Amino acid sequence: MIQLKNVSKIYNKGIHALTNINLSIDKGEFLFLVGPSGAGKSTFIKLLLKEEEPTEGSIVVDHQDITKMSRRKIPYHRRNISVIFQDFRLLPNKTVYENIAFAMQVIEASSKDIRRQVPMVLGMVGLSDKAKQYPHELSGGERQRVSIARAIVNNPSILIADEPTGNLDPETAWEIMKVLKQINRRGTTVVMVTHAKDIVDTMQQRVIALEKGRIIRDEHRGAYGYED
Amino acid sequence: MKIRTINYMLKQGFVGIWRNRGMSIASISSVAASLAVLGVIITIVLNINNLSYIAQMQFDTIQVYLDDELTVEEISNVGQKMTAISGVKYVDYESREDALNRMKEQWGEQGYLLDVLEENTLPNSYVIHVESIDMADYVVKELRNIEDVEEFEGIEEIKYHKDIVDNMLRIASFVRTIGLALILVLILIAMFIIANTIKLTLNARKQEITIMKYVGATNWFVRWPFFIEGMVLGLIGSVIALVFVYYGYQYAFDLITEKFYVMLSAYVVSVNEMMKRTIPIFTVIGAGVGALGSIVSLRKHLKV
Repeated sequence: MIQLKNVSKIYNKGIHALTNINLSIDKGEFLFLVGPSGAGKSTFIKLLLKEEEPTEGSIVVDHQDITKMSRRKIPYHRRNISVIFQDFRLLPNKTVYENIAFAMQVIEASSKDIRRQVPMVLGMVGLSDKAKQYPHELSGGERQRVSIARAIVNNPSILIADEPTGNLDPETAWEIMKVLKQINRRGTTVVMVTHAKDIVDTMQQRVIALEKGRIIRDEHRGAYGYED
Repeated sequence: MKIRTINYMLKQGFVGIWRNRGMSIASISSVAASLAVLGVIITIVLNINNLSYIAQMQFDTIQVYLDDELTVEEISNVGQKMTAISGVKYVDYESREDALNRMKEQWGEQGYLLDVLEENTLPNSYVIHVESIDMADYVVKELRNIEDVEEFEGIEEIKYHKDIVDNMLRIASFVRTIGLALILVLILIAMFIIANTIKLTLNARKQEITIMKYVGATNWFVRWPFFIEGMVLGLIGSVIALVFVYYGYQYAFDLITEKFYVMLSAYVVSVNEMMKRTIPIFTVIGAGVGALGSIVSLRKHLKV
């Protein structure tokens, strides 16, 4: 599904964000990416989304080398690999339903598909009764679930979660994890960047630890491994 | 592109215009003002061109007025000499009676005024048709030769108007050059104002655009609403300028034809003709300035 070969990223200012990363992620995996701030986690995500180009190496997603992909094809790549953020990034002047439908409208989905898909994903994240509410009327956990619904409404094969529980209390964080796990069970590959030790330790999934731009640990059924 | 997508983009375009009403009005006004100035320049240039064209049509002839004392034989003699000059297409003889009739015809309704003349004081004349107006100078020089060298006394006056036409063309080209430079500056200003208006919309929609980017909207999908916004601003400006040109020109046209000289109306470009010329020019420039303004703004502020 995702293969990185000898990937390095050096920013203009000479900062070595990632150094010689070799990594393979299979379809349907659930993977934690951990490491201190500045370890290169954000760069890793940006490379996958093709927001940044690697200085060296190749990145293959779904059998396609995205480092050789033309700029015109980036939007189609991003329909296959969607992302959620710590700060939810919902549009405040749109209802929950409209926020999710927006993601389909902008890729020119038919209204029939929108009417079918949006209630379905709302059901999956357990927010069917909140469709008409605005983001400010929701709790943090609910907002993150809306953003998850928006991320999966176009059926991506990969979901990247960039510290999705960072702004949530532990109990709510677990709700989100349940939703993510459920999405993973449907076959979506999930890559989650996190600092939440208890979540990583409890979930018993593959853990990749980055430090100073290098992979220092890649364990299946791993643990967070850092003391907070 | 799907119809629903087009609807969405049009709607976003107009929402953008409405959201920054103040800047939108500034953009529209600046396009309208630039094009109105262009309208005035076009009016002047078109009319001078038209006048000089009419002048050329009338003055590709050289009028040679003949002395009354000439005999029939002398008249035909000098006629032959004129025909022989190179550059002369043909020569028409116009007797004083013919001249009076032609004048009556030209004056039309006012022709009765000529009936009160007791005596026809018009001279007999030759009308020399030259092959092109550029030849007129040469032909006139040759005519003067006939007078001087051969001491032929029968030519009373030579009338031709190449100088007038030349002057008119010079003025037209001067107005055009200055006008174009002025318009270029005005249009650049209009473009700059539109670019700034678009920038405001871009800022207002920053969050939306980020999300669109992440869910895989194509670049064109992101850009189109801004193009539409720019082009609509430009087009509204050009419509206002067209209205201004229409009524302004109508007013000036009426003023000239009614209060001044009736005959002049034939030399002034009609309102319809004027609109036929300006509508396509204004529409293209309006939409073009808007689109360019958007491009400037998008290039600078939107990385997709």
